[in-house]
Amino acid sequence: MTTNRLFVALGAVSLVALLLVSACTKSGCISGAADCRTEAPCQKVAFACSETALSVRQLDDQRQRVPGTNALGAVGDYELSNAYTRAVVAGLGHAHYLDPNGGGLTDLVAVDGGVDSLNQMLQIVGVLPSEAAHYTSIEPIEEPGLVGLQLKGTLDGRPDQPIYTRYELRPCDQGIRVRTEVLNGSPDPQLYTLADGFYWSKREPIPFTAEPGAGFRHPSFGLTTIDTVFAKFPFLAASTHNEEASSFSQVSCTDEYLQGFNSDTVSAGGLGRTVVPPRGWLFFERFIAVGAGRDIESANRIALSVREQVLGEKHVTLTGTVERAGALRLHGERETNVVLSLGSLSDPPEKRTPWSHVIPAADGRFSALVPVGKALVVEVHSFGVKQVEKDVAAASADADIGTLTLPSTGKVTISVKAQGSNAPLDAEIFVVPADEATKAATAGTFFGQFGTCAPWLGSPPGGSPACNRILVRSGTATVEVPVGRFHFYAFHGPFWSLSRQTVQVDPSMQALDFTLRSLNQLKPPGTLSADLHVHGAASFDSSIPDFDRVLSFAASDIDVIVSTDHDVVHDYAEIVRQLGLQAQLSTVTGVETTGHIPWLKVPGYIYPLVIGHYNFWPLKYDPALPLNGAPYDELVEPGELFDRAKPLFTASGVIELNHPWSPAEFGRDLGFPRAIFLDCTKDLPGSDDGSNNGVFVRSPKGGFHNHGHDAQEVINGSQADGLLPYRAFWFYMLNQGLLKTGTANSDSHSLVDSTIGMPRNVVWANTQAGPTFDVEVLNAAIKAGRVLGTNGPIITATIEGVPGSGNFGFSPLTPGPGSRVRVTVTAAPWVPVDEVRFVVNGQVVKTVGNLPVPADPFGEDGLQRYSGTVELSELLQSVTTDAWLVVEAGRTLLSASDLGGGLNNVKDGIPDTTDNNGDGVIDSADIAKGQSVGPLNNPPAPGPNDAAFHYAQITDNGYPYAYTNPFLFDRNGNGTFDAPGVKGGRP
Amino acid sequence: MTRTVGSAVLALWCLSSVSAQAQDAAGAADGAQPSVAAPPPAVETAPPFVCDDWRAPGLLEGPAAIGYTTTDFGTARRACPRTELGLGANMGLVIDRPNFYGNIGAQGLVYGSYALSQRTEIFGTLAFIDYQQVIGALTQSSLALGDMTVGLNQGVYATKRLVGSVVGRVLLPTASNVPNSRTLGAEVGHAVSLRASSWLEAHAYAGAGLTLGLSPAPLPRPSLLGLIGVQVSPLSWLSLVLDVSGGMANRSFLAPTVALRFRVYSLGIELGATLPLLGTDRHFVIGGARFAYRF
Repeated sequence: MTTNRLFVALGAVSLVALLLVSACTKSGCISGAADCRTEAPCQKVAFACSETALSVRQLDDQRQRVPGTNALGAVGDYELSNAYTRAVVAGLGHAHYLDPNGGGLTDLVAVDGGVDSLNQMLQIVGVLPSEAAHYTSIEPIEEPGLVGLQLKGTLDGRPDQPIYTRYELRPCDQGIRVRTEVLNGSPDPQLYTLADGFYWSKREPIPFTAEPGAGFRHPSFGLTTIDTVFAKFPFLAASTHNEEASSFSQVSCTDEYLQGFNSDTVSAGGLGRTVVPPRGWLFFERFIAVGAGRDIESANRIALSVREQVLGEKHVTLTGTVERAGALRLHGERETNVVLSLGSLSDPPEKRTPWSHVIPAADGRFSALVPVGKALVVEVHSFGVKQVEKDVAAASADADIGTLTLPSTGKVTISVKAQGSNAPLDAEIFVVPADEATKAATAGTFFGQFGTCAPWLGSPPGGSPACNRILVRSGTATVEVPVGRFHFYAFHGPFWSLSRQTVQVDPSMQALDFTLRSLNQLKPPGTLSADLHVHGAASFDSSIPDFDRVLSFAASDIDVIVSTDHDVVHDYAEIVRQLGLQAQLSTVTGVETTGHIPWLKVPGYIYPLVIGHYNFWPLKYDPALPLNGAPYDELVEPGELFDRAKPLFTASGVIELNHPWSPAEFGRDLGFPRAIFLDCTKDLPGSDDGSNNGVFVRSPKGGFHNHGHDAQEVINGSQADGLLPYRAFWFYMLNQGLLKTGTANSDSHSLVDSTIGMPRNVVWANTQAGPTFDVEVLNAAIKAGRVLGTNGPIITATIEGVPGSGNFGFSPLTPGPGSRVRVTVTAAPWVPVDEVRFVVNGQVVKTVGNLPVPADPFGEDGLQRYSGTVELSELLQSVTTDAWLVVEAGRTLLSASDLGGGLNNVKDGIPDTTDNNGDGVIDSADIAKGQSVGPLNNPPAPGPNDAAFHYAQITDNGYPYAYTNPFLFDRNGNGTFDAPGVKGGRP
Repeated sequence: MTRTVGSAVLALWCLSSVSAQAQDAAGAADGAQPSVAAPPPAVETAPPFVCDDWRAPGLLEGPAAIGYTTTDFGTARRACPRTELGLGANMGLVIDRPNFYGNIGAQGLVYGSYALSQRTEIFGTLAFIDYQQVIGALTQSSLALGDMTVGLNQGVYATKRLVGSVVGRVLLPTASNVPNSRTLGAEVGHAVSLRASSWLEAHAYAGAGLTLGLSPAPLPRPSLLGLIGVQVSPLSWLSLVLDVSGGMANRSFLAPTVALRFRVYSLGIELGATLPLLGTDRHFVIGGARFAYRF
């Protein structure tokens, strides 16, 4: 063979290769053709029906939004619908949560009575922000027998990695078909797990998968341990836990299993992790079934029909009946959950594979589709406790498993009235086991999710009863309670007495009558109570129904609520009217902006950050707009976000920094100063000097500075578990001369996680709740610092011997030689107050303890705990500069130290660790294993004989704390308050 | 950057050629010295071919066999035909912390060449194992049959000290680890070897190629390579290779390469590593090992 022939041979090989390339079909969009269409998904799947209706449209009216508090559809979004299903895809630019530019599925409902409980489903190839689809075009598809949407884009920030998705609906589909293709056009091997990402975000639907030991239970993981929890499952289903009818189930149209991971925060279901070298591409076809039910089975039976068509899998229907003597109701998640698992009772639970979850009908009948020829275990859970389990033999045909009998419960009718007037009260009842046996017998959980409650009266994130809490409307409520001995506490806010009855609940009807006394003298004249941070079902991480949410406001006797749902504006006004509360309760529409997409880089730290959470109010509620009119909050620094929000305020607005030093959750920072490793041992620079503190002071767009908020939370939540760091950060800000109003909010997402109004802001504002309420006046008072933050104690404090009002707030006072502070501390008898503290420029300079304890915590006497005056000269003696004074009252604060926590774990001036080993010293031995600092533990839960026991039941083991906003002292007489600096004006 | 790298490579290439020609001429002049010239044989034979003038037959020669693409594609080739059969391994490491990306790639190779004549060689390489691990927020690895290349090396000129050849190579779509696609490629190059002495060789290579995918998204990508280097062989069983290469293979690069070569009888061993210093290539290091038996 000559050399020439060899070269010819090589050339021929190359030519054949080129011919092979040209012969490749150009199907789908992977070729990048401008007019391409992704192949129709799930072509093996067909459903029969007589319906022909099909529609694809772009929403042009807010009234077209699907029902449900999680519905996000806005004008400009796309809807696919048939006679069974409505699916809404966010329009371009309508970014939500983890979706950077629209195209994610935001709403999915069954037409026949379903509501939307889907926060978001988006296409991803991994867990990083750059591994989500960023679509740049959406085109409607209308073809004979189908409608669809063609989406084209790239992975976010990766223009060389195109991604294409086709949503499709056919006339008989009870759910939506989806095909996604992604191409690695980069020069590097990539790791793709092409999947649907479901954003549950806790307190919402919990994923259910058929894996050994799984069902609703999934191993916990963090961002760095996701690999360890990757699993295979035949379907990924979810349903609501607030009695809304919404169930969905994702199933592959090509493969036997989905692969991914699951938690109560996020799930991913799709292809396995695949190394994709350059030019490789993947596709993923799936059907997402939706049913109008409250259990997994409602959607899963549709998904299983897909598996029958795709895989030839065979199923049979098992039926059965649940009965409970004297039951008020059987067909609710709190009363009856039937779970069918593959396996037998001889298998340990972790070896059984939960297959379906069913809530029976009103008559106790249930049915479920299960694999043919498989032995099963059926379990019935009631009030959070497994009550029945039995083996079911493998069935080759439809079968009935008979009647399953549950133990009876007690029926309790509760009445709450006001003493004197006998007027019925809206109230909240807390049910607490009165003995250990009852606690052990009634401790329940929803399959390990949402925590444990004793008794478990309902799903914690849902409506009343939830966990151990019951809302009483207009003075009455009737509930089922497991048998046992319980304390029943009736609560109507901190300005009312607390009442308790201890009863043995047995399987009969019982009546509990409570009378509460108004302690209105506790409420300082000219004030109103405001909770400036509450969530309801509109939030992606809350599912408490609006009705119960508003009722909980009334139950806590709050005057003003600011609705601050995550990333969406929501308005409770209509529910307030329906409940007849408009004369006593005013609601303000706002938002809590919530960063989801990490992006911000700060000096010395490799990982990108989000900017945490901020509240903005008042905003216009406009459901025609994306996010109901809230500002888009991703990929901007706080200052730019403030710039965006300012024109959206409908009156003088307030910007509040929430939980400023809260640790990140799932890689998402919750508080900006902590996120950027603010060093509170150093003064802030005048401008951005390239340091982390410089990030805090800079103005990203020339408008607001990043520290341009008006207020910050000092207490967040009923447990006040972040108090010590929030308080320290607030004191740091005051020392820097950054006068931010310290606020106290419940941040309640349900009846359980925090009690509304505990804590609250007592605001000295010349307006009142009801028709004449003026948010301008409220906001002006808040911005002026005329706020007392409290979860029980009430402090009235004035400076005597100074010109002017002598009130605390941000108007500087000029003290003279005889100036003194007069302080009175009062509290309801059930609120323990151990001491009064005087804090000057960040340090406690005087403590008054040994305060009297009321003899009867359920009485009305002993409200005043302290009254006295203290000379300012005594308080300010250690300070040479201008000064500020905060008066605190409540339980003695735990000692805590700053052991690190800053960048590279240097000390940052913020306490991070308590004496966790109890040796009297706070040192590295107190740091939890695997952590660099912490934890900060709250005081131990008080025992039944402790005076604080009753208070702890209302606040989930919180502890009383109240504080004034600062008095400012212009001691050098220059007419202004000069920042004392990080040392607080001390040597 | 690419233009700069290309210019530098071209300049080195020209210098190499000029130097080789000068040394060749010098060699010719040396050969004219009557004091060292051997008496002509009684029967006239062809002068020894330049490629035969090597320190030891088993000692590997030419540029270090380390490249930036798969299965020796886009890797500089020696100029002299040899017959050999070998095993090899390549490994590349990318650590890109700011982008949460890491990649460990390794290939097990079987390769060989057959010298059809003094001037002509066919050669091929098969990645019998291609291992890839991608490390990010998630981690996954793959193990599969890799690509295969076959090629032809044809000498086009030779002097007493200098030899040049044209190299053609095709990348065959044997790799099974690219989902829904197979990769093809072809390249041509020119290899030069200057045998300055028995212990010093200078070499250079310039090549251009194209790869594309057998899929609806072929994504054709050019590859360019320029290389210049020397091999110093102080002993018949040891040599040191220093190369500088630049070009574009998925990403641009300019990189020094160091290799040590050993010989055990007819078994040649090469251990080398390259480190991209300039360009967009993200490799932290690329290393390789070759074991070739020369016939």
